[in-house]
Amino acid sequence: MSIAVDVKELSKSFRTREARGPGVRARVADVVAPRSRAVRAVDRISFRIASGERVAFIGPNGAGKSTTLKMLAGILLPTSGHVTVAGLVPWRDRYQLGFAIGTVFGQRSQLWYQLAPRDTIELLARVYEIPRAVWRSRLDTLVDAFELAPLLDRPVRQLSLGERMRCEVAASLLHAPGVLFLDEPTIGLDVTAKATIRELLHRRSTEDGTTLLLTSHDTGDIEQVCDRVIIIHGGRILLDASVGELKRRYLRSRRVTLVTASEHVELPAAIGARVVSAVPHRTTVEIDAGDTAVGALVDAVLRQTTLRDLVIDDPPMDEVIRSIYRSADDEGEAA
Amino acid sequence: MSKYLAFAKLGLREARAEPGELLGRVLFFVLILGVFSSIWRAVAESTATMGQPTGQRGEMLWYLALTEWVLMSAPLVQFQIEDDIRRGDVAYQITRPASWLGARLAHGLGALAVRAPVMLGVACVTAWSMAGPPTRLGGLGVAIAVGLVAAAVVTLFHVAIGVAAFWLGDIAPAYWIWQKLLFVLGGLLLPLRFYPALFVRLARLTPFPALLAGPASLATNEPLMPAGVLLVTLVFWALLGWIITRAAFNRAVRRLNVNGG
Repeated sequence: MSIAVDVKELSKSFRTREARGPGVRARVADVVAPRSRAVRAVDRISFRIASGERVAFIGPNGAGKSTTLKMLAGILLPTSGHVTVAGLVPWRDRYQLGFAIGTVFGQRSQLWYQLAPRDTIELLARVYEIPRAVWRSRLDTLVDAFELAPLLDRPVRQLSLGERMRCEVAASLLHAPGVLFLDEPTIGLDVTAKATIRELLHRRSTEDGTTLLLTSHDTGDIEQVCDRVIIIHGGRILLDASVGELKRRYLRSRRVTLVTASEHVELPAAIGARVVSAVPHRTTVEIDAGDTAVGALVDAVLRQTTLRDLVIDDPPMDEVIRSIYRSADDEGEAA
Repeated sequence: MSKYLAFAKLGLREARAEPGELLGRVLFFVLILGVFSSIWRAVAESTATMGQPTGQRGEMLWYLALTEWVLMSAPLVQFQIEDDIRRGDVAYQITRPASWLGARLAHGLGALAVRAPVMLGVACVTAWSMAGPPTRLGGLGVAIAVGLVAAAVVTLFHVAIGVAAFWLGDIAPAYWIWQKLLFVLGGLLLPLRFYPALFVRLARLTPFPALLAGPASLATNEPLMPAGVLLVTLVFWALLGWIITRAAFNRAVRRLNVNGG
């Protein structure tokens, strides 16, 4: 399988001005001899992404994920390290890279605000040097997939955020990029719009083989779009695993809902089940995620009554990720 | 090249989509010409009482109409560029396979293509109605052709001022200085022949006379320089301005920092 993104020992440091404090003397000194401090936003990270993979790049605020994405897109120059995206060095081959990648930055817009999305799309077709027949057919496909027909000729300023984002993603896919970088693509969207964008991203990636690298704080984006997750914290990679493996490795507990013939069930203390909610015939408990815990729970219930239904849920992804961040913070403090 | 034509087309559409801004410029333009028509009339009357010739009033008004036309046709792209730089949008736009500076300039020239004909119509109708036909009708045609080139060069210099936002943050002071230099050294209100000789020699070392006084004076009896020389001068300043702007932009992009995650 070919490699779409190859990152080796990538680092980025910024210099930030440091004020000496209040007072006229300090301010004059700040002007005459400014003091600055190097802040390492990304610290020797390495990873590879195969073509067609969908990878979530997540981390708390200030972790370095957007900085990494900007280096991969050729926006920022790294302090050290080596990167290739679609076989190109982003900051050196920025012009050629433009043809190979698409970018969606949730808090920025590439659409011309006063004009209709069709105008921007026509412009992008020229910018990406797409022959007219090709981009027309490509646009037809995207219009169908993203349901853009009623939006294409309305000024962007009149579109809702969800509608605008659908146009943004479609515009980014017009030149059929091999790699699509998405920085918080669902930020600010309502539940329905988020679901639409996630579904569209997943489908386009599956059908076109587009490699996705997505940063987000929304675990829904990770679970519903991506197969793999890279967690970054303090500029370093904490974890690089499949989404399933992430859950398995960090699963502390499971939530089991028991639908029983009898109104209530008595659970032996030895099982270690904590009752989350109990209504007649329906009891939800939380148990440790050990191999035998669910079996012991079911045995105990079956000894008392008939089990009509059983639902086992993983803990919410938010909790999993939060626990990873927390343990990283604890390790940092201990160090 | 076709991608930059597409940017120009977009600039043209955007300018057409905002007719309010153009209307404001038109009203201001008419007001300026009205005020100066009255001033030159008063000057002409006072010189007539002193036995001086009064025929220069019409020429002066046509001169002003043409300098103002060049100035007011050039879109203020520098403020859009400043916004792009301050908001950090430039960082995201440079990932496209097109020169960002070229795209911005083309976008500005597209807007110029809407403004210039409208403002020219206003200039000619207003000046003709207030002062009669220009002294040299053929010269007016040449002045218009060269004036269009000058307005394009002013747009390019506006791009350059916008790029200064990488270092200055706020370009308002830089633009203020540029504007005053253009007014004074460019001979916005008065042809340079009325200025002291030393001042004119100094002004000629800068691009300003070629931008305003040069094209407008082609419609008068005393052109600042022949049209061919003026065109070469404009091309020289445009090339120099473009080279410096590109070098500055490339340097800024290499040092680009984007705040926030």
